[in-house]
Amino acid sequence: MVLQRNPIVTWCVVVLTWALLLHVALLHAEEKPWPVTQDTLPNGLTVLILEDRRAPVVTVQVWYKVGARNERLGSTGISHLLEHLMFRGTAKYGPGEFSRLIQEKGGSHNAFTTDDHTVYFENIAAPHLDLLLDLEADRMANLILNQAAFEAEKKIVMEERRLRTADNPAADLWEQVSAAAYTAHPYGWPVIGWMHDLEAIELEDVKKYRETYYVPGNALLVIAGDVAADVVLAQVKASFGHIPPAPPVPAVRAQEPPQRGERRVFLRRPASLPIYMAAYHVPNWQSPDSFPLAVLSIILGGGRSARLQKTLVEEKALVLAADADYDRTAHDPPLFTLFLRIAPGKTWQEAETALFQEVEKLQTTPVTETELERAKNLVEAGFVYGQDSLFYRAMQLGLYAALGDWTMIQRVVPGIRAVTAAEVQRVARTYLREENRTVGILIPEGPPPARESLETGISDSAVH
Amino acid sequence: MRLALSVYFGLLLVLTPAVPTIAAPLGVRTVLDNGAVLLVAERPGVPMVIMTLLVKTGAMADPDGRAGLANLTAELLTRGTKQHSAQALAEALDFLGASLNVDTDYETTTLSLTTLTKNLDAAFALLSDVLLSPTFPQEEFERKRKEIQGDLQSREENPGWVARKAFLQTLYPQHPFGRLVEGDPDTLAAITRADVVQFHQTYYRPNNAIIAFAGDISHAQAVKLLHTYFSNWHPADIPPLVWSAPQRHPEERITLDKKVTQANVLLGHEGIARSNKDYYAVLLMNYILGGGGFGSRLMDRVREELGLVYSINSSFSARKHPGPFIIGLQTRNATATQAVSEVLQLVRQFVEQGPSERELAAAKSYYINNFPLRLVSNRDVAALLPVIEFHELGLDYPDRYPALIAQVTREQVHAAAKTYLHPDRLLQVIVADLTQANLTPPPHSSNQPATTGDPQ
Repeated sequence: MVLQRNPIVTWCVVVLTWALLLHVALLHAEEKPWPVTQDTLPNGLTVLILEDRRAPVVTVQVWYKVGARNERLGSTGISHLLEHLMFRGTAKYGPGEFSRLIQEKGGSHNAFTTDDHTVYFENIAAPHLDLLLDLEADRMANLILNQAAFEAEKKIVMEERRLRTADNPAADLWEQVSAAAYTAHPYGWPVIGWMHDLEAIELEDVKKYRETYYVPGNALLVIAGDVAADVVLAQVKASFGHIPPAPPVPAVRAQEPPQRGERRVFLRRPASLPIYMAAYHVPNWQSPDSFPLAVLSIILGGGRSARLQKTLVEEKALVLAADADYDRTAHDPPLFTLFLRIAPGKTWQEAETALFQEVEKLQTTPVTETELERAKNLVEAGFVYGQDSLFYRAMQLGLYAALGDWTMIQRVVPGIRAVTAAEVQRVARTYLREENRTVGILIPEGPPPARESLETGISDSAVH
Repeated sequence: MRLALSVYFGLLLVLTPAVPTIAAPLGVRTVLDNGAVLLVAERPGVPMVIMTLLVKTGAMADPDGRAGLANLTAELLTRGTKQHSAQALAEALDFLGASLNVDTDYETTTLSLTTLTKNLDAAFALLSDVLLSPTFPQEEFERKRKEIQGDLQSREENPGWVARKAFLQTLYPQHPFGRLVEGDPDTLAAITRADVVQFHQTYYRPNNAIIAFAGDISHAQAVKLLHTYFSNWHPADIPPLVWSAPQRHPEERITLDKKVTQANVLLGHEGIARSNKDYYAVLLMNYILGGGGFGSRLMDRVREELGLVYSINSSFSARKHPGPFIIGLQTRNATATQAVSEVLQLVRQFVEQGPSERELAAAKSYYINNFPLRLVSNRDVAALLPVIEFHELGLDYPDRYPALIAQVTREQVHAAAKTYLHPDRLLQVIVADLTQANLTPPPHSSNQPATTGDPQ
């Protein structure tokens, strides 16, 4: 499964969880500090254990700090392809055994790849933790990659690309916008990879990639649930301790230079209605501006009363949907994205004018204290609701630990709380500027939708 | 509401500690005097409450020619009440950090409220306002209708959506399951504001509702909330639904031409009702065939061995009325017919041979061990409680569940495959670039297939 920083990606529960995590991006631990135990094994593997005894279950996540940002043109998509191949078996657990063993114990498992990470996860009844540790340690060290499985998996990933991008106009446009917005940084190419790169990648490339990045020092193991930290740590040492250490992974040196003028991308393809996106380069968590930017994204696109919803969807009825997206937890500086699905009978030009009026309002007039408080309340409540899900808590731990320090979780809600109206206005002025903007416009073109050219055939013989 | 609190509280306070059958593991069930069923799962820990209010009416109650009425009514609940404008409601909910979602299905409409415990009272007041006093302003009615029509147009670009629509229309030509919950642009145009008002008046009644709470709330608190905010909610007769059972559909292939890189394929036929005596055998049967993800026969062969698809699965929509059985897959245009042949062969083989003992053991083990994992969060419990009530499974369902699964035999699963899978009369819908898929559509022919077989 591929996750892209894309405001309109909503395929499955995991994607939704992730979107919530990135969009609302928050957390604190004032009332209840997180009972987290952290340790690093001699081989470099970082282990984080969260004791949460509310239900007799456990979540295990292995975070490899490798994703599209570590790739090169010519082999884009290799991180995600490797994610798929990690399910193809080892000498100890042959093809299919991984899924079978987990499912027969009632557990679930999956994996996803982003610009920054490749994450494998399982949920299961707490007594079966040992099995999960054994399975993950085994495939970290002993994955078998053969040509037949590789060829089959490449075909599967190409189908995934067709499903997610080629036949999905909004995702297709997002790919074009990213490619235009980033000229020198890997965030410009799609996590799933360009189709010709997928065709060209060879088994040897994947083997080398795996040897470089799937090493204990580049991984985080997160265990959350009905467990005792000291017992678990001993189990982890027994499962993962024997995996040899490896050299540090190569640093990503790429940086995106400042943008010096608006870029416009037009995509003409079959679609029902026009789609419009505006994406601005912004800093990530490393900048104090990231908190006001997060609040700004809520004021524009979060909750039911957000400005874009109120003005563009409801009052002016120019668009069917409007959203704002900002992920302050990106490893490198991300995009602040505004997304509009144009309503029938309206033009993207009308919608764009109305959109920029909203942006300008934020630049010229400070938001009211009530509106600011509302945005902050949404963030804080979102944090509390997140605690309902063990899986989500584990995701938060992994995400912040991968950035370097899981305790940053505890500084998010206070950081959001401290944002002032003047700061929101300042970041709107600083970053939502024309010359810092990449605009993408999807213009529907080609044959009319299928419903208008419906051909029905009834045949008894043609079926087989 | 007419809670008859004296009797009710008395019963509860006296009996709760002494009679454990009332306090089944999952929650406490109470039938209120006005007919509403209240379910409460007290789960302290996180300072939040999730409430699910299920109205036992959905798109099946849409009158002929007005498909989309139930959904439009539900969507308009938050668009203005006696006390609040739509914007004021939105701002008030956001200020509380509360979320209120509305979801319409064929047989039910669900309102779910998520709130911090500290804001429970204020959030519940807003919910009651939305539920009991919507005003359905004409302007909001027009705007929302247009928005849904626009959404429907927008979704035409999604080949999976196009396939599903054609599949349901063909499988259920004279039945609400053949329509979309959202309706279509024409049926939406036929709906008036008066229809919406009438629909709300008729079906949003306590004796047609299930109210479930999960989270940091006590049973007494829940009762007090209902007493405070729902005291003017009165029962009324709910008109019965009159739909003749759908007819069996003969074998047919429908091809739709669309400029896509991937063919979207749906194969299926009528399925079963949730109350079917063979439900658990069918559940296990479908898991082995294509419901069980990795390890299922469809996934093993069509994805893992042949690499034809990214996803493939099968499902029975077991509603109160029999919903469809559907196998869905996507594959590049050129391999569409190959994938269909593979699926047909797998289904035929499965019907002939049935499952192996090993497959059945794995399926049983999955369901029995997975059930507790479906009840971990407040959200899980708040979602499951009303469903258990709607299908009359009883709050002891989690206790009974392992035995219900364990007692199914290999012979029963094989019999279920023979009885409920019909590879000889599958409806096939293929949305693809037909030229690339080598599927030339036949010259336009009648869209009125002669039906064979008996009504269900």
